[in-house]
Amino acid sequence: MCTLRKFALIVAGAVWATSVAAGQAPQDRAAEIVKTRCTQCHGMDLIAQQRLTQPGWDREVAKMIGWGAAIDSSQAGDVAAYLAARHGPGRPATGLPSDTANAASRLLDARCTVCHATDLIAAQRLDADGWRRELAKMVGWGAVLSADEQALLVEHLAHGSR
Amino acid sequence: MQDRRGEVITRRAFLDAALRGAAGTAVIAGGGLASLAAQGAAPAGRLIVHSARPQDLETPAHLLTSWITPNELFYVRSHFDTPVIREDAWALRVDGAVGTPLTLTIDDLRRMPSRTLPVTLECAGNGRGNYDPPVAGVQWGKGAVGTARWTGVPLADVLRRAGVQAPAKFLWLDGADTGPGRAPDFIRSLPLDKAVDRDTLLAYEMNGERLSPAHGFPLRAVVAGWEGAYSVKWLSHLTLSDHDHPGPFVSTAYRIPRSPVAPGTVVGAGETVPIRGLLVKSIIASPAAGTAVPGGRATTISGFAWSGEHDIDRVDVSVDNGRTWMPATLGRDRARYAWRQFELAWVPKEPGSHVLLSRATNAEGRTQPIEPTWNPGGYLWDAVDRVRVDVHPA
Repeated sequence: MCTLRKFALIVAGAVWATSVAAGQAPQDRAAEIVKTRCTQCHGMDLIAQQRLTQPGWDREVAKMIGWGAAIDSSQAGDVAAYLAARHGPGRPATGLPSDTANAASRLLDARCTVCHATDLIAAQRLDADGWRRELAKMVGWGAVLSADEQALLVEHLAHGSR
Repeated sequence: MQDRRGEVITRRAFLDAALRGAAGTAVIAGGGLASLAAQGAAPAGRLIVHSARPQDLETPAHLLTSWITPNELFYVRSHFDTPVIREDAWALRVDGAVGTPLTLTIDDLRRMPSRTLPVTLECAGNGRGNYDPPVAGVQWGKGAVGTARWTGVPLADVLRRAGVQAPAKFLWLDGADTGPGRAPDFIRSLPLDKAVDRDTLLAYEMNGERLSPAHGFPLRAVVAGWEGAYSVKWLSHLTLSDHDHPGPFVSTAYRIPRSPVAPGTVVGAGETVPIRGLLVKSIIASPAAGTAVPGGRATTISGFAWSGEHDIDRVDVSVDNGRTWMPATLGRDRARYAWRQFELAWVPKEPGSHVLLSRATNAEGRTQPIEPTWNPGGYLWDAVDRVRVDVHPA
């Protein structure tokens, strides 16, 4: 009886764990894969500047899997879809003079991390207007950022490689 | 002494990275100073960072102001992480279809008669970021090009010492860089005729300085007039073969469709041909795009024109979006494989937004097209260059 209950609990636990994993939205899982697997070999900047359609990303992801990227081929479609949605043909090619990128990174490290970590920033997917509003909010909450510094950060966060 | 020289370079690279790149390091590499230095990455300075790892840096066109590009402004193209090489532990192997396989130290090479040649290098993907529809790869603007005085040994002299055997038709060039995971080794293949050309160099100096790690320390190929990927960095192994190298950087990459295709077409490798010489091309470096220009006063429109193995014959500039063209003055500095500077004095009369164009023509009579030929690799962007500026009222 006791053993049977234990068995039932284990089965229930396994079912629950499976449902949680399955419950993770494909784009969240894809985002996690991109963040953890792709960056083992190159930076996010290389990804962020591409402007490929879904078939284009399908080819790129397949090539990378061939080169040893730790992505299961069953996940390749989701990863390509995620990348096509974020880095599709409509997006501008990016690239900032490193002085600008460095200055922005310094600002992020010095001012923003007083209250929160940079992963919170990296997780955002805002355009320039979105970042302008967000920074204005943060200044309202007490962040120390001049107008020039805000403009630099908007440019970096919306268009630069993070 | 030799041993120390290698160490000094490594330490200098570390210090450069530490002093100049410190702020970006923690964010870009995520691994702190040591990892950046360990990778031998260059301080990016004023260059545009397309990729921090592996390192791909573009020169902002407005910083190209001299016939010879200063080393710290020269674009950097890397397929994989920059290898850290100790000079005393490095050697160049030459084997395959040769009478005498060779292993040469850097001092063996330095003791051979040297040549210095000004050569313009341009990445085959320069301008890829402009293609529509977009294609995969580093999204270069127009600054993956530069000119340096390269000093080294003619490759032909090294091949003569090894004694090239009859079956050899191609020279495979392999650098010390290695890709992660199962990524294929970056190996390029040069037809023998170009390999034994007196102007093809194994270079160890760039503008009078020892090669930096980012530019191929301690030895790189400089294949004058051909697209940049032939000029393999961190050279460690030359193999003479009777066939082209089968790897993807020869059989798939750096190739264009045999016949032009509609933009967006997927093209099989079998329908492509390798890119060799650079096309005729010009870029406007000044004024920079989007800048304000005073009306009623002279502004100098200047830039560079090059054409691989051919001489530049003329550069024409338009200040009215191509309705009329004027011949620009070509700079005095010239060398067979180096770009020419051009300039034209312009006194804008009409205020407003104006499009400036430059169009080079080479000695063969070939000129730049209005539209480039779209190709799946995004190579050889050669369209008439255009820069939009705002003319302010006088």
